[in-house]
Amino acid sequence: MSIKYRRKQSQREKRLVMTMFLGLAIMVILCVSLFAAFFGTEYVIDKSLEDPDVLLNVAVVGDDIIVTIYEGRRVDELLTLSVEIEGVTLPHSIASKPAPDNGSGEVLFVGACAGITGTRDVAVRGTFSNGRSLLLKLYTVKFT
Amino acid sequence: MTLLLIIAAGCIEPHDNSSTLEPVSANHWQDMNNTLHTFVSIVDHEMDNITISVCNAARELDGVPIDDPSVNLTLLKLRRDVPFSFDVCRVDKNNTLVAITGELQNQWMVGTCQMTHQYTEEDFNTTNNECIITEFCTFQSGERGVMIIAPVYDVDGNYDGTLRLQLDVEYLFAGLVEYLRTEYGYTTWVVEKNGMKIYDEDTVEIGMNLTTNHLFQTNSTMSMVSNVLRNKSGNTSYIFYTTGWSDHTQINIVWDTVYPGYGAEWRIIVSDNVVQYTPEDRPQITSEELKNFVQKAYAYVQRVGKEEALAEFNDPNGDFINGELYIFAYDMNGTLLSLPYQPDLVGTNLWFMKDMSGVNPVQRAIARAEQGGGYVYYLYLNPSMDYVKEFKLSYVMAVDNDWFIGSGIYLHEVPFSHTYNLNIENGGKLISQVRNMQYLSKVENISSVVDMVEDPKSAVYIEGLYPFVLTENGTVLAYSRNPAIDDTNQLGKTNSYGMSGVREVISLAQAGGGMMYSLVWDSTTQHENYVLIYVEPGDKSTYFGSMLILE
Repeated sequence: MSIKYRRKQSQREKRLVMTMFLGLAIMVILCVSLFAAFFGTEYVIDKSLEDPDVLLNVAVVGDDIIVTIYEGRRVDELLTLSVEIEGVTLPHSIASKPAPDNGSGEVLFVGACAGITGTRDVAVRGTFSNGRSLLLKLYTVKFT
Repeated sequence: MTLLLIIAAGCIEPHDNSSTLEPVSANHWQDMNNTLHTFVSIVDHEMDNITISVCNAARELDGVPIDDPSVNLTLLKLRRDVPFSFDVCRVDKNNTLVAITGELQNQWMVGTCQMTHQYTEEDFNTTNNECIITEFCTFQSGERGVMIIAPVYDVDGNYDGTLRLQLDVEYLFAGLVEYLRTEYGYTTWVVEKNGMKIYDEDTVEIGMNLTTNHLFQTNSTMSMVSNVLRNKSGNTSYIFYTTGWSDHTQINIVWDTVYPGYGAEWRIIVSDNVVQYTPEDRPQITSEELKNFVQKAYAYVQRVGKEEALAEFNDPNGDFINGELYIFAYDMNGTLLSLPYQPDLVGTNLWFMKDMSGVNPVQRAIARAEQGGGYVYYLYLNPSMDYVKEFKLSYVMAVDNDWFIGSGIYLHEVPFSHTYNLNIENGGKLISQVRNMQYLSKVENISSVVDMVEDPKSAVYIEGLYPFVLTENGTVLAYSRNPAIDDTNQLGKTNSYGMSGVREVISLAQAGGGMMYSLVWDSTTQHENYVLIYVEPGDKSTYFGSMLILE
C-alpha cells in the first residue's frame, strides 16, 4: 500500500484561486443586476399597463380630459390621479385630482387640454394608499 | 353593406326560385317606365353638365404653359363647379401628372406620377370632340369612380396632354336615388356594359361584376344580367335577396341606357326592391345607456383580451347583443373586426364606405376613437328595422392604438332620419361653396375670403348655407351664422353629447376634407341643430367649411 501526499499549495496559488472566484462572483452579480435593471423595469411597466391594477380610459371632451375608472384590483387603494400631456406643463391644480370616492367613476381634469391640438402622448399616474406612484395608462391621443 | 360582406365571403349560395315568378301588371310596368324616363333624363342632364364643364376647362387650358399659375386655378375652378369630383389634374403628353388639386394630400405626385390610363392624340381623333369616360376604377387615393378626360392643345393646336376629373359616381347617384325613392318609391342601380356595377344603394355591391359574381349565377339572375347587358332598354323580373338578405323576393326592373361620354355606356336600372319603413313605437335607448353598454364591452376586452372579446362580440347569441345594441369593432385602418348581424363582412376594409350624404362613418368613428372615445353621427342600415337607413348616434372607444369598439342607437325621433332632407342640390351647393372659397383664396388671398364669408353680397354667399373659416388652432376667423364668435378659440366648445365640433372639423380638414354631421348650438334659435358640414383645407393652417342645417 502506498501513501500519496498532496502537494502543499503555495500562497501565490491560493491568491490566484481566490481572485478567480471573486471575479466570477462579481460578474454573476453584475449580470443579474443588469438583467433586473433592463428586463425587470420593462416587466413592471408592461405589467402595470397590460394587467392593470386600475382599469381606466382617457377621453378628450372640449378643453377637458375625462379619466374614467372602471374596475381593478386596487381601485379602492387609489388616492389621487394625475395626467401628463406630452410637451405641456400643466399646473398641479389642473393635472392632479382626487380619485373617485367609491373607487370607480369619472375624474374631470377641467381645462387640461385647452388650446392643445395635434397628436400627443397622455400618461395617467395614480398614487396609492401605500404611498407608491404607478403609471396606470399611456395613450396616444389625437386632440384634433 | 350586408350584401357586400356576404358576397365578399362568398358564403351565400345562390338560390334559384325562378319558377315562382309572378306576372306583373301593365300598370306597374308603365309606372316604372315613366319613372325611368324621368330619371334617365336627370342623369343625362347631370352628366352633360359635368362633361361640358370638363371640356370648357380644357379649352381654358389650351395654349397655357404647364407651369403657368393659371393652370392650378383652372383646376380648382373645375373642381368647384363639379361637386361630385374627387380631384382634378393636368397630365402632359408624356403621361406625367403635372398639376393636381388637393392642398395637403396630393402635391407629392406632381412631376413624378405616371398615369395608369394612357391616351394619345389618336385616341381623341376618334371621339368626335367628346370627353373620354373611363371604366369604373380605383384612384391613387383609394377612392373609386370614373375618370372624365378631355384633350388639351398647345398654342399651335398640337396635342399637349389631357385634363382629367375623377368623378365620384357613388355620390352623384346617392343624391339622385333619394329623390327617386322619395318621389316615386323606387330605387336604382347602374351597371356598365361589361357587367361592372358602378352604383347600388348597398355600397358593398359597387365594383362587383354581375357576369362573374357567384351571387348572380342562378338561372333567374343570369337571365336578368344577360338581358340587361344585351339590350339597351327593357324590363324583366327575377328572384333575388331582399335588402336585408334574410329572404328572397321577386324583383321587377326596367332599364334604359345613357351615353355620358365617349367609351361609356351605362345601363340605368329602376327597381322596385325598396325597403318600406314602417314606424314602430319602441322605447328609445338613451345615449347614456349606449355609453354604458360600450364601456361594459371595453372593460370586458381588457379582462379577457382581444381574441376572446371579438369572438363574444361576433356571437349573435352573445352577451353583447341587445336588440338594436351590438358591439362593432374595427382596426384603425378601417378593417372590420366584429359585426354580429353581418358576420361575413368581418375582415373587409370599409375605410372608404360612405353614407348617402357623403359622410364616411368608419373614418369619422376612427377620428373620434383616437380622441379617446365619444359620440359620432352617421346614416346606417338598421338591422332590426329591415335594414332601412336611419340616422345613427354611436359611441366609440379606442381599446388601444390599434383598434376600437363601438355601438350605436338609431335616432327614430330625428325628423330627417327616414325622409332624409338632404337632396343632391343642397349637398352639391355645400361642396361648391367651400371649393369656391378655396378657389378665391388662390385668386386673391385668405384674408379676402374671410371678409367675404360674412358678407351676404359676396361671391361665396349661398342662401341657407353658413360658411366659416377656422385656423389649425381652433380660432374662428369668420362664421356667417354667428359673427359674434369671430376671433375666439372654439376648441373647448362642446354640444350636449360632449362632441367638440371644431376639433372634429380640424381633424377632418387635416385628413384632406370631407363631410360630417354634428349637433351645433344655434344662438339664433337658442337650441341645438343637427347640421351637415363640409370642410377642406385652404392652406396648411387655415380651413374652409360650410354648414347646412338639417332641420
